[in-house]
Amino acid sequence: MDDATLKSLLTADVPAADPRFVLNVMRRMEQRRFARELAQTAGLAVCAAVLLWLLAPFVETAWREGIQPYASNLVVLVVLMGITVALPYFFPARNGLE
Amino acid sequence: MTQDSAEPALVAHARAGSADAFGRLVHMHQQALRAFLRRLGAMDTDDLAQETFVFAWEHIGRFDPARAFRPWLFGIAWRKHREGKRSWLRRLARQGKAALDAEAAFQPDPGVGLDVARAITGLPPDQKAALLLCLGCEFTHAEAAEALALPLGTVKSHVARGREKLVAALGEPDG
Repeated sequence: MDDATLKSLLTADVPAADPRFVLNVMRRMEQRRFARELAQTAGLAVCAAVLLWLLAPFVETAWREGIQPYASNLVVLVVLMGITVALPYFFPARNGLE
Repeated sequence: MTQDSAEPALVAHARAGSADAFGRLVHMHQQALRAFLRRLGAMDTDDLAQETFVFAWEHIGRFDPARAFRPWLFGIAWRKHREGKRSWLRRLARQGKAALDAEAAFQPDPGVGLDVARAITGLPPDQKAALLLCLGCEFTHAEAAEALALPLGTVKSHVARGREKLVAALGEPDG
């Protein structure tokens, strides 16, 4: 038996090209990517929660002593800034936003 | 552009993160890889082939573009097949079925010609893989050595001995 005969025996039953196979591979790739990103996001969320829990007493003190007395002033400041940013969008033609 | 000439560009795009380019590589190699795993006698060949491609996608950054893609891909498939077989044997041992002849239990896919399948099943795993790559998938000895992580001389000897055994098992004189 020569190599050509052996080769023909060994290559006789090659499965047909299957587009579903490619789609299944792509689906698995996406599932892995999604699972990896989900795990990363969950890990970050847990880290942030722990960090916030550790820092909570300091944040609370800083809020009470540093920011709360001026909270009403800050609210007014934020509203004014918001209006300043949003105002041009109420008059798009005049402000070249169209 | 032929498939062979397109491959390096596709590999480069896949390394840069293009899933489309990798999809085309999957399309190019799926038949040969599935046939190789099927002839090895792997269980659930399509699942294993898909896992091979997914692993290749996840680790394509480690692939050296100066080398050929096919031996790297088939090397992954070969290692996954061996790992799957080992874990299957461990499961059997845990379940108290160690006496079962593991090799015999790994029946080749019925899609493979029965005589050839029987003859291949009788070969030692490394010999079987070397023979299938060189005669069944048209790998050079060097490519097969790279895929199987074996020395070149060992692969040549595996192919020669495997070929002899296969011819003897198929019942025809070597010519």
